[in-house]
Amino acid sequence: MSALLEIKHAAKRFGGQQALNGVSLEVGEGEIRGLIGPNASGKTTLINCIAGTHRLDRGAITFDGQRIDALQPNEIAATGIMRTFQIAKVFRDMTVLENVIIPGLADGQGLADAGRRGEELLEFALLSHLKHEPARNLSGGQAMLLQIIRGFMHQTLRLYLMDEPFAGVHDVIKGVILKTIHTMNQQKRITFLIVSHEMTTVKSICGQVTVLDKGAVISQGTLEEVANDPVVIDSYLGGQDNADASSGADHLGLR
Amino acid sequence: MLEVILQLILSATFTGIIYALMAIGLNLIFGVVRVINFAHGEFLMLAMYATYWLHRGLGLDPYLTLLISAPLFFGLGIAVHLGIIRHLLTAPEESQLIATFGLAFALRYGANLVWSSEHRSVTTPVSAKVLEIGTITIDYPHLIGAGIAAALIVILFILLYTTFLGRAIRAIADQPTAALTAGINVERIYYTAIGLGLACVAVCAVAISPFESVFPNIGANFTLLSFVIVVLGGLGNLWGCLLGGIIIAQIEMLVSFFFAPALTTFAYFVVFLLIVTVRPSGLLGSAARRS
Amino acid sequence: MRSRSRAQLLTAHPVVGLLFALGCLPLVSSHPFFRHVVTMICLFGFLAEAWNLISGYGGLFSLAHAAFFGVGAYVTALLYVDGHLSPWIGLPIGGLCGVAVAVVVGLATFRLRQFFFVLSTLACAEAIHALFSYWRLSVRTGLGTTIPRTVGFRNLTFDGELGYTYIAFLFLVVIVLATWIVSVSKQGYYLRAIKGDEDAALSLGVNVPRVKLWVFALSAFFTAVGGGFYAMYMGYIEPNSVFSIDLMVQYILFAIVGGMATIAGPILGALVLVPLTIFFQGFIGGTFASLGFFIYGVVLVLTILLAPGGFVQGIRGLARRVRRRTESMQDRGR
Repeated sequence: MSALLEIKHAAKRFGGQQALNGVSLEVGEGEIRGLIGPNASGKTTLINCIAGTHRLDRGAITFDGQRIDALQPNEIAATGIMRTFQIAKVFRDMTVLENVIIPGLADGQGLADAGRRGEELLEFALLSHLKHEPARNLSGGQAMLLQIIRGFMHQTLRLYLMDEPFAGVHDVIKGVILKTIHTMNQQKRITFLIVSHEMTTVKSICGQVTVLDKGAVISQGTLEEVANDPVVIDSYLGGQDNADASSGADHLGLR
Repeated sequence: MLEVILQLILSATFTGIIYALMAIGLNLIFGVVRVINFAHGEFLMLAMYATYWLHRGLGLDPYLTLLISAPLFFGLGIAVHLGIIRHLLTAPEESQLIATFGLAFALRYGANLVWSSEHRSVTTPVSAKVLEIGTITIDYPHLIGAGIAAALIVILFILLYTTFLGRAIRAIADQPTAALTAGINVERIYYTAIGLGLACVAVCAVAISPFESVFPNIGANFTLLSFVIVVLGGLGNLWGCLLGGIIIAQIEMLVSFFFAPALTTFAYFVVFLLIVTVRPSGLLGSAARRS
Repeated sequence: MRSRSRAQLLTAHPVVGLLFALGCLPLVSSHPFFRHVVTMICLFGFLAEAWNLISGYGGLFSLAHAAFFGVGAYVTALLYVDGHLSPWIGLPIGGLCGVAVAVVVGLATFRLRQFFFVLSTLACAEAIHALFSYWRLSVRTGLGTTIPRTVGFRNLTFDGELGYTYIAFLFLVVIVLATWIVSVSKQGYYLRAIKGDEDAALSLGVNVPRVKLWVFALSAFFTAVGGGFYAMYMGYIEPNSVFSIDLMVQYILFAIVGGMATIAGPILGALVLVPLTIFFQGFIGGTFASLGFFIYGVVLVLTILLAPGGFVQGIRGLARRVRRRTESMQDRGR
């Protein structure tokens, strides 16, 4: 069975910077894959390229057997891929409920149906009490949660790309986010590709992780496996000699 | 025929340098403070009136009025920032646009009220003199005007690339948030940049007054011209302004000569639309520049 | 979605009231000048609402509307004068020509960032103005076109003012309805999402370019129809008058000062400012016409600095304060 998402030799250059330098990876359906790596390793760029915000210079991205690397972001959304942004992008002058229903409307649902589904989702995310609140009044963590919940409005959501969904988020909200990911993955077999720096959280939710550095995949496996991969340790430490180099888990902040 | 063309090109180059100074003024304001200044041409109009009245009232040689109007307009820049711009820095972009648009209107029709729509021109002792090099004739006003403009451009380059203030200005233009964390007093840089921008406009006014008469509606054309040059040369790029100014002046001269003076405005718009669709970062701008 | 529809109904009432009052106004006095003012209020309110569709609700500040207005004026006028086509057919044709121009302008400029977009729309408007001037100069000896007066409903030419007044009023009602329908529809939600964060809207599946384009086209259609009406009403047009940026600035001003992204705003703006404009241009006249525009400029700056939401924001704030005070008085009385 071929993977849900296949990326082959993806390359992307910005001005003087080679952000992606031949990235190849596959994500199987139903996986919760982590995407980790040091700063500026190309994680966000990769997400942006899958989601259609940027065009690849070279390479191919295939989703469910269909090439998507030339599509516009809204066309990619229609194929069943949703994404969140590192800085939560909510529609500040619309209410929380209005925010949530947008993907539903775009998906072909009517206003009434979308409204009902939206209210259900908000209840699931424990945000019901805020449904008529203008989104600009939300805290950073609540905005991130709203951004995440919003994606689930899509009726045929298959792949969810999340860029740093846990960054700066309160523990309680982080718990809700994790519960949501877990439930949606189990009940609806939604595949996740999650970029994160928070290793403990990644460990708790992700099956496999892919490690990027300088625009290329340098390792893949469970978090334990990649934590002990000398290549990975090297990339995080910048190749410095370190007496503690034996325990990769330490350096990735797992203990 | 060839000599005529050469002469026109030379004359246009001089005019272009003066236009470049005006565009640099806009670049300073827009590039640093990031406010769309629709009133740029109106400030030039005001400065030209200032030149006229200082010349008429105090009997000063128009070129010398620079010594008064440049500092005056620097101060005006600070006043405009404190009164209007400062309150708009966090407002949505369209608010800035509308506010400077309103300002432009108020200045234009205010000038009409106070000074009527009469064209006023300034003459200097050298207005009629010409310099002859071989078969090429250059009139002094264009020569001196370009000279003044060029001198100020050089001073600005030195300021921006060697002094601390200059580097702070460039830092903020490039990376506003980084500059803030580096401890630069952003507020002070803002009004310094605006002040400098308007001082450029004042000098520009002095440079063109001897061959361009002033009337209240003259601002609109110059605002457009400044924007076209800035976009042509590349936002934030001073060399681009210089190149853009000279190119635009040539285009203006060619359109005037081969078609009709009235079509020059149309030509500016066509150039603007071309650049914006084909190469939005301008001739010398870097594509990686973000908002 | 209950609270949203409740809020919508509440806001509908003031607008309905406004429109009703405006509709009764021409009957207050039969003096032609008075009715002329009402006609202008309705027409400019209409134009302001049309501009508000794309620039207020859509967040795309367009200066291209002068082109749509002028195209509509010329198409309607020339189809009538040279083609003997009833303006009632000419108006929608003019509207569609406006749409065609809007599609071209939109496709060329929508990808641009705000600053470039605004200037590009201005550039397009001025370019079209220049083209029309050049064309009219080469086709006729005079720049202007006089529209012969043959009274008759079919010709959209009336003896008194009342006919024009109620047609302009009808247009206003139509566009208020259209704006309301758009704002409560899916497209209205998309518009607000796009205005809020275009990238997010795109990533959620909203076809942003298409939504922008059709709202722009709708706005252009109405503006062009307004231009056609203006041509028949004035009886004389020339490129400098119908492609005039100053004329466009007026109805833009009414929309902003009245309250952008609201339905009542542009009407309020026109209601208050049109009589003032006519006063300045008519009674004072001469160089003091500049006084009107000078005040416009000042008003614009002050509005943006003090109350960016215009009259509507001011009224809502006032209403809130009054409500709070009556509530506290009721509490105290208890």
